[in-house]
Amino acid sequence: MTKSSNELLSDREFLRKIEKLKKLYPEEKSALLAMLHLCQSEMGYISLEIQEFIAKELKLSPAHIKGVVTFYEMFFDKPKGRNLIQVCRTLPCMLAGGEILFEHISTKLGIKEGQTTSDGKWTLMTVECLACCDKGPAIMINDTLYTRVSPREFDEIIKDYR
Amino acid sequence: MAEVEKILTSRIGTKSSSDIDSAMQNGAYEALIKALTKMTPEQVLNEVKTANLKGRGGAGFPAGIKLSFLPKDKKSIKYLVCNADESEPGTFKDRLLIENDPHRILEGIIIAAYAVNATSGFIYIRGEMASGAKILEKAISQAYERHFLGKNIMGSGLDFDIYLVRGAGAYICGEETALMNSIEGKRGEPRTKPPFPANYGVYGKPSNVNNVETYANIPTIIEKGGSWYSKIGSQDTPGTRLFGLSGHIKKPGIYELKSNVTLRELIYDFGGGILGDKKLKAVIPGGSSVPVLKADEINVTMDIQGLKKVGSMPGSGGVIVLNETVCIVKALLNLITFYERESCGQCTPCREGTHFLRLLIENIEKGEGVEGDCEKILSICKNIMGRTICPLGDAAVMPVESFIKKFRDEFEFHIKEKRCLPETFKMTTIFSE
Ligand SMILES: Cc1cc2nc3c(=O)[nH]c(=O)nc-3n(C[C@H](O)[C@H](O)[C@H](O)COP(=O)(O)O)c2cc1C
Ligand code: SF4
Ligand code: FES
Repeated sequence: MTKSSNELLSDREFLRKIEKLKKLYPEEKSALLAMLHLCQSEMGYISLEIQEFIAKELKLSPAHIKGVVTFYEMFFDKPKGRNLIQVCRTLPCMLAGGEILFEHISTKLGIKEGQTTSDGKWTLMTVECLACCDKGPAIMINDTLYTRVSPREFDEIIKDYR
Repeated sequence: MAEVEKILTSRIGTKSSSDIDSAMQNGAYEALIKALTKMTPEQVLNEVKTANLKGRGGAGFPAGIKLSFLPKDKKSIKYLVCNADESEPGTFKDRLLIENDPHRILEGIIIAAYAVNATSGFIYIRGEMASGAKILEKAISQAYERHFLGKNIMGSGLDFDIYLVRGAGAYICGEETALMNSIEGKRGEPRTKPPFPANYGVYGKPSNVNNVETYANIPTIIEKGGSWYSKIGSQDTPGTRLFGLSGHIKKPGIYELKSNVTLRELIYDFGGGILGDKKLKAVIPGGSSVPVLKADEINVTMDIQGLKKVGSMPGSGGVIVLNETVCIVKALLNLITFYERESCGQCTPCREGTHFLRLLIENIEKGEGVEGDCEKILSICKNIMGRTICPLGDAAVMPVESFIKKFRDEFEFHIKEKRCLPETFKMTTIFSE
């Protein structure tokens, strides 16, 4: 989950996956997002060293990789908390009670939007519509979607995370 | 109440509907086999044209005509792209198909590939749909095992591969040219058109982009015939649509209905009426980017003609219901913040315009608005509309203009009284039930 750049670059399994991704698409460049997803999930963010490594693998400039990493919301170029909570803030979820849920989460964890708890366990963000508007309020914790989340349910859900 | 016809959701709810065996027991890939064994590519394309199938991603362009823009020869490389980026606020129909009947989507894409001699296809799924991506990945590998994908499919001579690309959190990647850039491993910035995708698409090769739900209609069109399909429901948008009901509605969810259903029927007969038993205030009938309607404008059919009568459009089929407890200024602030955050920043009118619109609307909401703000907002809208590379600029303007025009009194009340309308002090939510 939170390997360092050096650990990752000497991880055989990781290098094997990168090789496999390179051959997956009609043109190598199309593997970029998949490679970045892989790095993001292994490290929790995508360090400059890793960006340079990917640039070499795909014969692209490091500036191109940085441009891509910073464009997409799901990629981070700096470390964040071990777990990422994203609360949907868009209209249908707001109508369902999304603001009440967000306030609860923010108070419970003692952090505001964009902040990380001091123990490094949680980072709190808002996110745009998660395409499950009939079941709002919706949140994602890492890759898992939770729907119709009440403040009480949220307190239960987070017990499963370390 | 309009009669219910199940095309897209006919297999949803059956046991393990996303698995190929169970899907095939319920008819999956029969239309593909029919197309490959009994029809020529021209015949297949003609059926889709005759069906008058309209795109379900938002713009409603006729799918058969768009496919026919691709060069016809057998030799050149051509790509079919399936847009599974589903990020328009209020829209959650593609998720239903992806998670529950991925083989219907694949079958539609493969039939389309046969019709135009396409060589490969891409499905671009939004990054947040992690489980949907796994389901599609599995469905694709099952389709390869059964020889519905790969070389010389079912002995027909058609070679066709499908690649899955996961996005990474950017609404703009749903715009077709941004999506193609993203497939190429670039920032998801829209391209200037022309050239159009049919000439210059993925990797600069002729390409065709359609929405998930659009492709999912094709198997039935081939099975039952284009003219059968063209007679279902509305003349301008034949077939059924997956309407998504969200917001202040008692029974939110997806409803597969013909688009000659009226908005009133959709809300009251299917959706069970307004949450909190309050009065209806406003409805956004086709995803966040289309003009809003007032409560007395819902006696219209959900097709292009019907919604045009009240100055709106069917868009992506996502219907967002607002009851009388919603502060309209706050609702608009929520929407404009979305467009500000999702603007890719290439065009000044869109980047700066959405920013200033958000600031002005935020000021009004905070009670810091001044007389003339509404005019200022409308004039910024004029300077964005039609002056940008992609339609995101227009998509941001349409809600803003319509909210101001239809609820002008409420905006002026905020500006003068520095507060919300009394009935909006406590908004209904699912927690207040
Ligand atoms: C900002 C923006 C976002 C869009 N998002 C989506 C989307 O998430 N899904 C989609 O199918 N179409 C989306 N579209 C429309 C696509 O550009 C394109 O018209 C559509 O995929 C074509 O498919 P169709 O003809 O089957 O509707 C978006 C357009 C714009 C301008
Ligand atoms: S209109 Fe907005 S989103 Fe579209 S290209 Fe211009 S800046 Fe980007
Ligand atoms: S608004 Fe939250 S999922 Fe659509």
